[in-house]
Parts: sequence; structure tokens; C-alpha cells
Amino acid sequence: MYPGLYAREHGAIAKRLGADPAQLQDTLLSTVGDTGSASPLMMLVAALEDAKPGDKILVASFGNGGDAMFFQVTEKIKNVADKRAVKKHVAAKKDLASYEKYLAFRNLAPMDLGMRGEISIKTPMSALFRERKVILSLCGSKCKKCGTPQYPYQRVCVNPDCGAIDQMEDYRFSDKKAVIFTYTGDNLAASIDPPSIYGLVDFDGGGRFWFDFTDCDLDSVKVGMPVEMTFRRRYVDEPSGVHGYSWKAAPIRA
Amino acid sequence: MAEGIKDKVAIIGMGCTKFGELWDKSAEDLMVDAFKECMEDAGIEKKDINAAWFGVHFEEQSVGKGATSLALALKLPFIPVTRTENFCATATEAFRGACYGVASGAYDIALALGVEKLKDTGYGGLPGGPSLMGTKNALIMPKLTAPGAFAMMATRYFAVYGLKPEEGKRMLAKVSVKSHYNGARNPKAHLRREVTEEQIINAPIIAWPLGLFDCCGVSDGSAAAIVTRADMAKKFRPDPVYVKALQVALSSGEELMYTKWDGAHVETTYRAGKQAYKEAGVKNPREEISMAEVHDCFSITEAVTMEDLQFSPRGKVKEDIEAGRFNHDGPQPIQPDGGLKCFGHPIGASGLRMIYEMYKQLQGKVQLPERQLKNPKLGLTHNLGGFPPMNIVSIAIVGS
Repeated sequence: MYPGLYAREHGAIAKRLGADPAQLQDTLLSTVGDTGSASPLMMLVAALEDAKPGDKILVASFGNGGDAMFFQVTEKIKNVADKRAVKKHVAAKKDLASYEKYLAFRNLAPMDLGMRGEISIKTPMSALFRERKVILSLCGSKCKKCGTPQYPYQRVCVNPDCGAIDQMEDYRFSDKKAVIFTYTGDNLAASIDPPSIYGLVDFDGGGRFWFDFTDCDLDSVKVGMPVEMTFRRRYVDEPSGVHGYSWKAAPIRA
Repeated sequence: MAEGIKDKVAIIGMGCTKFGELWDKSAEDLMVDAFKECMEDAGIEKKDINAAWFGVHFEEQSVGKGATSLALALKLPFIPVTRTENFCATATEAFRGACYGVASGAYDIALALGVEKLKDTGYGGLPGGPSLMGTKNALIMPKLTAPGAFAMMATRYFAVYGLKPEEGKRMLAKVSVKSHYNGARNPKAHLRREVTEEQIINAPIIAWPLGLFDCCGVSDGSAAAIVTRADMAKKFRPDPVYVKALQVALSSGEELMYTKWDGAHVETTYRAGKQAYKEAGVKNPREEISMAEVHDCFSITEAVTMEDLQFSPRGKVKEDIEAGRFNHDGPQPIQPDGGLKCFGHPIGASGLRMIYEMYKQLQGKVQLPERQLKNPKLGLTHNLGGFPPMNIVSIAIVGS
């Protein structure tokens, strides 16, 4: 597998490698688009979703230089079946109602967010690194004394009957399902896709926090509705060159 | 158990500017206006003031950090001035500082003044949100606004008590109809027009289920108080107003991160209220509190506050609203001056504005006779700063 923005060139490379077209992994260009440097790794994950023990996989990528890696699938591939990876994410896609929205999301059409949209966010790298588990891994903590899961990571237990200090272990919420505790659709918040839909969610197994919701319409959102967490872009801080990513809640679709 | 503040401090003068879009007034102008009225009312001179507390929330919109802007605007003669900031409780915190200052015996006379210039932002609603709360919050919190945060409490209230959206919205509309009625009759109020239930229900949605008239205005304005020790008060005037309770409670994180809070009430209001009643010796708030100015930033906030302050039983505020209990001619008038909804909401001044209305009502000195309530005994003021799961509440009870 190797990326290729042009189908003809992609095929020509296969010919030079002496590969059968049936051996090639789909580039995901027609379903996901051009994901840049993530592309070969996404193709590898997609290949592993269909892989059987003994399969041999060649991964190659190129840019200003090139890398090639050769893998052989082992029996342990059976242990990671049914992970929410490329296939499930593609299946959970939501079609946009209009092309203009797509242009707005991609920052290809000029958008007037109004004066509320003018507040610029400064993103210090030191803070991003320090908080990487909370922001990128949706990692909170679980109290070793009373068992209460809590997000974000706390040093003092939030359970009022416990309050233990520094008795925490890491606890990931990214793979936990949740239900909507409450929500709103906010027309005042600056957004390229108003209304901003967000709310509080209660996680299965404990823990509550508030999140932006995504891939949903206000009319379909209900108190008690099940949701799952999905890793999304939150903002682009252009002066700092930072794409801020974190987690949003989305209806469970696939 | 600590003795508390009851009857140790008296208010001997107050001032409050008109609230609104005051394009031709600077923050300093507003401070001077409130101070002037306050000093004339107290009948004292500037040299009599021993210390001052100054509240402002969005300092970047108006005066900058610290307390120097107050000292400079009023030309206070090298006395201590302390800046307070605690969201919407900012002015009540300034008042609390002044009260504790005289109650301790450190000072004889203290000034509390709050101010906010908000309309220069050029837009409705408040600036800020999670984007101004540090990198972690900017990334993990929803991009919420105040209307959105309180709308979530309305959604939850409707779900917990089984109200259909149209029933819930009608209940909330009645809250705003009442405040517009009161505001329309108050010359110092920001929004002075009566509205109907139908107008409110059919208004554009700001954050579902809250519409335009479920949200208070944000304004420019200032309010001030002069306090002294209770035993000195009668030297200054025959009708001082006494402080009966001052309480503050802050969220512990339980509401936002633990799963016991029902989302249909504000825990801090309930806790601070309970403490305030204990401090003031109030046994039955529904009967004993004659009137109140509560933090009606949104109609839903006023509704749940009635339950949290034990004016209405849990889940039953709808019946009291429908019966007109909180109207100007009802048995327990709420927001007699129009509330945040119509008097307006300059954050750093609002707490003192509420106390100003209670003070004037208790003295029987409300500007227009038709606004005067009959023989009130105890008045309560309540501020809620922040969001329902993450906030500060301050409560003051005053009486004659």
C-alpha cells in the first residue's frame, strides 16, 4: 500500500512494482479524501481490519524522501477485531446538506463570524504538551479509594464523601459510551455551523462532563440519548500554527 | 459557631445610575454619578470614608486591573481601596468587603462601589467564554455562552418535571412578562417596555429553549453603598438599613463532574440560602422574606432560584408563577425594579443595584409611589456568577 493523489500514477507505480491491482489497498481518496501524512497509516489500519494471520503487508510513503515498512500479520490480529477504526468511522459519516457548508468547514469560502468570532485563541505548546493526556487521550482519573471516574484528571477526588488527595489512576473515557444529561442549540456562540449544539453527558460506569456535540441535528438530540466520543478538530490557531484537536460527543450510528 | 454579621453593619447611603446603553458616559463618569448620589444620601464628606472596595468584572472593557481607577476617578485621599472580582457576584463581594471592614472595627465608614462598561463591545451578550479560560479549557469545554449554559438547565428542568417544551416556555414567559411590567415603570431601568406572553414565546431562539425575552440585557451602569457600624448608624440618618446576612457559596466540582446533581436546580443557591437564613434567623423564607432581587440572568434562573431559596416547593414554582405570587402586587414580589431582565446587567454593579432597590423599598423612598411596596420587612438579594454546574452565588439579606 502506498498513497497516490492520482489514480493513473497510482496504477503506474503498481505496474513498476509488478503488483497485481487486487493486491493494492484502496487509497481512501474517494471516501475520506486527501489526509496528507496520515494517509499511509490510515491505509495500514484499513488493511489490518481485513487481514488474516500470515498476510504480508508492504507500506510505503513518500514526500521529501520515502519510507517502506514490511509487516507480517500474526494470530494476535484476532484480538483487535471490532475496533472502531477506518471502516466504522467511514460508515458513521454524515452527509452535508450543502456544498457551501463544506467550503466553510474547509475555510475555502470567506465566512463572517461577526464580532463574537474575533476572539483569537493563543495556544502555548508547553500547555498542550502538559495537558496532552486530558486533551488528546480524553484521559481522566479514577479514584483508587472510592472508584469514582472523573474527567478531566483531578488530584482531589470529586466525590464529596471521599475527597482523597493523590489517590488517582489514569482512566480513559474515549472508549466509553455515554448518555446525554442535558443539551442546548446555541445561536449566540460564534460558529460556522450554527446552532452550536453541546451539552453535559454521563458516561457509562461513571463520570460527567460537558462537550461539544457533532454530526447531529438539534431536532434529533434528546435527554437520555446515547452518544459516543469522537476525536475532532476544535479550532485553528493560525498565528501559533496549531490545529487544536480534542473530543466531541456524537450520536451512535455505526 | 461563628456569630455572623446580623445587625452589626448598617447602610447609610446608596447610589445607582440609570442602567443602559450609555454611549456618552465612561466608566469613570458612572462611578462619579453613583458616588455622588450615594454621598448626598449619606450626608457625609469624602474625608469620612476610611476604606473602599471596588468591583469590576470585565476590567479590559473599561478600567484595567486593580483598584486605582476608583481612587483616581473619585480622588480618594490615599485610603485603602481593594478590587473585587467574582463573576456576577463582584459587586456583592465589594459590599461584603466593606461590611466586614466596618464590622471588624478596623474602619468606621467604608464605601463599596461597582461599575461595568459593557456596551462598547459592540455586540449583545457577554464577551469571553472558554476561549479565555486557558488552553486546556479552550480545548475540552464546549464553546458555550451564558444563554447556552443556562438553556441546558431549562432543558433539564423540563425533562425532570415532565414539562412539554411549550408548557415550559409558557411558564418562563410569565417570569419575563412580570419583570418587563416592573421595568417599564422604573425610570432608571435599561429596558422599559411591556411585552406579552405571546411575543416572548414567539421571539427568536437564542439558545434552545430560551428565546430573546428569556435573556436579560447587558448594560453600562454603576451602584454604590456607604456602610458603617450599626451602633453609629442613627447618627447619620433616622432610617438606616441593617445587614442581616451575607453569604457566598461556590461549586465544588460535584455538579459538573460527579453524577448526583439533577441539573434542574442550582446547588450553590440552595446552600448559600440555607446559611443566610440561619445567619439572619429566618425560619420560613416563603413567609418572612418580603421581597427579593434575584439573579434572573435568564428566566429559567429566576424560576429555579425561587425553589432553591425555598420560596416555592421543589418542582412547584410553576404553580406560584401562574398564581402571580411574585408579581408586584403579589404576596412575595420578586424583581420589583425590573431585575437583570429589564433594569439591566452591568456585571460589576448588579449586586449593589439589587441592594439599592431593597434599601429604597425598606425606607419607603422609591422614586415613584406606584413602585413602592407596602411595608416590607426583609429584602433578599442573590447573584449567580458563572454557569449552573460551575458558579458562585452570593446572598444578602437586609432589613430595617
